Parts: sequence; structure tokens; C-alpha cells
Amino acid sequence: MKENNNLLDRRSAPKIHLPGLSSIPMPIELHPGLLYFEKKGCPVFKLDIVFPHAGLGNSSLKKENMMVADLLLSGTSKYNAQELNERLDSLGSYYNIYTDYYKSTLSIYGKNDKFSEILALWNHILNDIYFDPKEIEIYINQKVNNLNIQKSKTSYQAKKCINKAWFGSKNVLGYMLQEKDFKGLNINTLSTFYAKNFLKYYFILSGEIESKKAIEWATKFKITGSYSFCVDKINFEKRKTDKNSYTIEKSNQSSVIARVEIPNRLHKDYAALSMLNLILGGYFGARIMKNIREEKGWTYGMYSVIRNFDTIAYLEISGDVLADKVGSVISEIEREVRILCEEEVSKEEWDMAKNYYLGSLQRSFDSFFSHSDKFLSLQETTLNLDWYYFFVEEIKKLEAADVKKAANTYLNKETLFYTWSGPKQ
Amino acid sequence: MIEFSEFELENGLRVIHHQDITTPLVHVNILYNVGSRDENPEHTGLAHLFEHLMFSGSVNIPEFDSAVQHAGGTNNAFTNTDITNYYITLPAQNIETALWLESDRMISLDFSEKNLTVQKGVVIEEFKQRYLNQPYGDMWLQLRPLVYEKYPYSWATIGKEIEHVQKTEIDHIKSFFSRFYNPSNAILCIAGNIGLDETKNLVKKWFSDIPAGKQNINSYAEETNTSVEKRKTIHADVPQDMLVMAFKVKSRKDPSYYALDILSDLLGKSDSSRLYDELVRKKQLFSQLYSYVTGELGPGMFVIEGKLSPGIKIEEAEKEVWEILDNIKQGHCSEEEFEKIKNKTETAHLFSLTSPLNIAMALCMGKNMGNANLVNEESSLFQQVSRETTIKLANEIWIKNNTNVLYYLANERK
Repeated sequence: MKENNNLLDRRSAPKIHLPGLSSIPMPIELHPGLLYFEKKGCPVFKLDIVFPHAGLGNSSLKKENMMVADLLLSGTSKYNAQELNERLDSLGSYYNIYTDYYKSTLSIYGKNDKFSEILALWNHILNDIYFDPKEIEIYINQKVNNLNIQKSKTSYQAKKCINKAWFGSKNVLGYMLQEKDFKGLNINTLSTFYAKNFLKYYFILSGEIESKKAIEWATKFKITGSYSFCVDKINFEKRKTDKNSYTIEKSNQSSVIARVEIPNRLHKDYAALSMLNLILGGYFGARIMKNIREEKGWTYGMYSVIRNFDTIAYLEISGDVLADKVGSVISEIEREVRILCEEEVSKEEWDMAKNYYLGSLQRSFDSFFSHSDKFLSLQETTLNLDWYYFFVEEIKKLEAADVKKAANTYLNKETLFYTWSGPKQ
Repeated sequence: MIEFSEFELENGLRVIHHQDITTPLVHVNILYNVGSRDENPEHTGLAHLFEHLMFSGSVNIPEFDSAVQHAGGTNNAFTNTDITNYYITLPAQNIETALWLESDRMISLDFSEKNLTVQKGVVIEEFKQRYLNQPYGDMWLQLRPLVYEKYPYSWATIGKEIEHVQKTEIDHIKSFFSRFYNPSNAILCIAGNIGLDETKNLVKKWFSDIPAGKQNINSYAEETNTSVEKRKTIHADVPQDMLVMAFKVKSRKDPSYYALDILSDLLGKSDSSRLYDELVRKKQLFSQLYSYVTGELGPGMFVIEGKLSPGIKIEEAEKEVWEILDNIKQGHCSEEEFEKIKNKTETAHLFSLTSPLNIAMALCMGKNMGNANLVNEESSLFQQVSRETTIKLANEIWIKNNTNVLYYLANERK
């Protein structure tokens, strides 16, 4: 220790104040289909164009709809892909596209002084798209190569196993695209799917853009006020199968995934389940991390998350672990679940987890440009951002006994569903 | 414009304050001027392993993470070749918890054998997860020793090999701590909803009693300029061949950095860049191809990295990359191309400054390079880069005797 006889007494922790949500930003509807999060003085904007009919759950086409969003910049009747990319870069703008079960979302980023030029270009792209065969060939080449890289990863193989068994082969989420799917891409079906499902969209604008200008552009894009998704009802098949593992002999680690079905955020037990998830594996101080990483050193990280759908949800625990420890890790997960069912969480751990969770909810609203993402993440259950006020109060009201009750209701050794990938155990 | 204030404690701790009243949070970022370049080449990975041990308890506080979480906060850290950076984000009214924790572990750690054994296990799993259990994951373990001959950048931050992590003993850790972890060798930034006066009072309260220690004044061996190009070929169970070309460049602190960064963007950052357009889109020799600058405080690297399309010979692919480089060296690039890159750089810079944590990190990084105000000056430094300077730089670095080539080849499949 450094020598100093006049050190401050640091044995006691400073007083702590409970975090809370002071105000949640709510979007204003400037025009049907145009939602606006305003931040005064912000020199840049983000525009999310949401395609509510272009999610993976729209089964009007099985596989192509997983690829259409990736090919939005393949060309128009006026510009090829290179020219489009060149124009966007020249405007200092960038974008990303994300597709989940319910929707595709195109997020466009740029400086305020280029707003009109950037939107004019995207209006042209979306309304005059051309799926250039050459770009599709490049895309296939990239995807197939990437797929070959993924296939050699234990995490990919474990995920493939569990998705197939969990969702069943009829649901798009139970299927991981294969080489033949990319190679069989058909321009006509892409174009048909695009015309049917990508021309219905709405906007979420974040930043400081004059409302008159924003409405003018919304009108030019002919946006509609329809926010509802077009998806098939989700169902967990949870098909028991002998094939719950995939062997990769030369792997240095094994990947383990465990899942259990739970009700979604519309259910009265959701707050208790959220705390249960947190305590089990939802943060660095969670029990699985403490046990498997900090005490045993078997993993760099193993966490649990809740994935919400419109009617149901699941809780998933996953991580890469020491190659030969699959059985031991599964036993430890089961042990932690059993303890949660049998014993109430101690006051010290309960206070820490609760404070952390309230703090994380507060932090989740700190980044202005993530407000639209948060808004979108509630869309599948048709909730608004003010649901978080209700949720924070529910978390505050919870007691350790509620988590024990939730564990006994929804979690046990029999309901946990496992897959793993790695060397033969 | 990011407004900030600077002050220094008597023990040498440099402090930066940035106020943002629109957030309920505060970010406490502390940078220690020590990285993997400060390690013994025969015992690497120590700076990073040490970063893990910084969360295993300090002189008065047995559990670092629990204390942050109890205050509703979150924390993390990273180590690179030059620095180790720690940060905590928490509700502004709980800032004292962060200062209590950071000051206590600056005084001393709980140097226990058990903590060391566990963290060695965790780091070894990280080594496997990131570098061994991923296709191409060991690329940096292969490339660094090829490029660097004398400068201590010839190993990755995780360490040269797992055995180096494994052989670390408690005395190594104690010695590392006493050399590098003290107020004189640290820069603290507090950004968020807190005023300057309160910041000064609290920083003085928690840090002024810590003995000063010494700044890291390590001098590093000069990197030699080799007169031959260097090549290495390795074979692995990967799906496709990969080409990596690395050219040695000057430090991140050198004024040429801004032109270098623009050059790397122009060459291979986006789908409209030269490499992508010519060799991915038009000739389809690669499925992925991009370039970047490592931006280290010592001699850095300009890297070109790409995965080949099936059936393409790697020698042919390399030749085609050289044609693009030669084309730029001959001055075949327009003012419009430069404007495009500058516009995109400016947008990315503005977005990065919408996050107070990014601001805190940028202020500490700038200060560590000698100027905290770089956060405000860099945008204009990028705008000042001329086409002529950039082409001249391309001619200086893209030469055969500054070239390091790694052929990462796929084993024949049975």
C-alpha cells in the first residue's frame, strides 16, 4: 500500500440515493405516420423509416423477405449501387437496416443542413428501386462466405439447434438461412415482396428539424398513419429432439444455451420475471456470472436475457464456456434455478439488484438517439413509452418473495430447454 | 463546441470537467497511462490481466462492481497498447460512490492469490473466445510480430500466448501496480450533471490524500525502418483465404494522422470506396475488403484486410490491390472524393459528441496526448487536409520496403 498516514477513512460507503425516472420523452405526431422526438440545438438528425409489413414474421414469402432489406441500395432506374453509395457518402450521411420478426427499420443519419438532400435521395431510392442482378451476385457471395465463417462457430451451431427445436421448422425464426437459399435468390420474388410490403412505412424523426419541413417531406414520401404490423402468430413448439447438440471437435470452447418460456411484458408477473432474470444472469453481478465466471473462471461471460413477442416471451441463458465443462455448467444453471425457487434473495442482494435495475432504466433514456429504438421495442405489444412509468413503479413495489414465487411458477429443471455445441463431452 | 475546465491536484492528478445539465447522470472516466507496450516481452498480457484485477476488490472495498450496482450504476474498462481506461456511469447524485471506489483502488488493491487465480482463468477464457475460437481470430497474434521488430507493439494486448497469462504471480501484479497506478500517471474526467465547484470539492476530498507516485516515463525502442518487404503465410481451418497488408506509419500524435485517416477512408471504408468498388463490386475478387489506421501513440499501422472470393488466387488479389494503391499514388483522385470523406468524417464526429461518455473519453485521450481541446480542434484538422498532402503521404507509406503481407490461407478441405 502507498505510504500516507493521513488517508481519508474510506471504510464506509457514501450515502446512496435511489435512482428514478424523472421524465420520459414522448414522441409528437406531427402528421399521420410522422413521429418526432425533439432535441433543441442538436446539429444532427436520425430518421427511422419503419416498414411494419416487412418483418420476418410476414410469411407471404418465406426466405426472400430476410434479404430484401439488405438489398435496398442495389440500384434505381437512374443510379447504380456505386452511384447511390457515392451520393450518400458525399452528403456525409450513413445508414443501417435492421429486420426483426415484426418489422424492418431503415435508420438514416445526417447533418441538419443536408436533411432535404438526404431525404430526396432516399425518396428516390424507395420509390424507384431496381434489384440489380450484379449487386445480388455480390450479396450472395458475401452472404455465403459469411455463412461459412459462422458455421465454424460453436455459438452459431448452438443457436441453430435451439431455434429449430424451439420455433419449429414452419416458423421463419426456426430456420437459419443456408447456402442454397442465397444461391436461389429470385429477382422477381424480391421485387414482388418489395412492392407489396416495403411501400407502407412510417417515420420516427429525432433531432431538431423544423416541423414544417418534416411534414413537407412526409407528404412527399406519401407516408401513411398505419403503425400496425403484419405477422403470423408466434408459437413456441419446443420440440423435444435427440439432436440438441452439434459437435465441433477442434473447438477451444463450447457454447451453451438454455431457454424457458415465460409470459411477456403485458402480464402481471413481468416485473417479477424481469427481476428474476436480472438476479439470475441479467447483469455483471448476477448469480450465474458470479458462480461460473468470478468463482470458477469457466467463462468470459454468461448472461440471461428476456426476448418479448406480442403474446409470449422467453428467457435465455447463454455463453461460451471451457470446452469440456458443458455438463458442469448445465448443473450449475440448474442449481442456481433451484436456489431461486427455494430461497428468498437476501436483503443485501435484493437492494443491489433493484437499485441497479432502476439505474439501468434511467440510463436507457440517457442517449437521445436511442429513444426511437426504445419506442420501437414496445411496438409489438402496442405499448407506449409511458409504460416505463408504470413498470418502474411495479419494480419499486416488488419484494424478494415475489421473485421466489415467479421462479416457482415459471422456472424449474423440467421447463429449461438446453442446446450446446463444442467438442464431444 | 465542447466546453470543459481543467485543474490539477498537488499530487499530480489531472482533472477535466464537462457539465451537461440535460442528463440525470454523471460519467467518471479515468485513464492510466499504461498499456501493453509497457510490458516485458517475455511476460505479456499483464496490463490487461491487471485491468481485470482492478475489479476484484481494493484496500477498503471488497467488491467493486457490487458497490457501483448498489448505487444504480454500471462500469467497465478497456486496455490497449498505450493506455488502460476505466469508466463508471451512475445517477449524478451518487457521484461520491464512483469517486470513493476509484480513489480506494488508486491507493491499493486486495492482492489475493484467489483473485489472481480466478481472473487468470477468466482472461484465458477471453483469450480463447476472442482469439482462438473464432475463424481468423488470431490474425493480430500473427500480424503484430511480423510488422514490429523493436517497438513493443509486437504482441496483442491479450498477450503473446496463454502461458504468459498463466505464469503471472502476485509479485508481478504488486510491482505493476506500484509503477503505474498513481495520481501522477492518471487523468480523471467527470462529465454530466454536476457543476465545476462541486467537482473540485469532491475530487479534492477523495483524491488529494493519495501519494503522488511517478508518471510513466518509459522510453520505448525506436522502430526500425526495414529495407525489405516482409511476408508470412499461415494455414488454418477457415472457409476462405484472407489477405492482410500492413504499412508502418507515424504516431497518432503526428500531424500526418489526419491525412492518413482520410486516406484510409478514401481507400476502403465504405461501399463507395476505391477498394470496394473496384475489387468487390466490379472484379469480385474479394467478398469483403477494407482499410483502416490503428491510431496508436507509438508507430501505427495502415492496414488493408480482405477475404477472397472462392477460386481467386491470393497473389493475383494482392497484385490488384497494389494497382489501386499505385493509381492513388499517381494522383488519380479528385477534390470531390476528398470532400466526400471529409463530410462523412464530420457527421460521425458530431454524432460521437452526442454521448457524454464519449466526450469524457475523448477529453482524457486528448489530454494524454497533450491537448484536451483536441475534441474541439480535430474536426477542423480533418478539414484542413489537402489532396496534395494525402497523395504525398500515400507515396511515402505504400512502398515495397514498408510492406508487411500476411497470407492467411484456408486448409484444403477433404
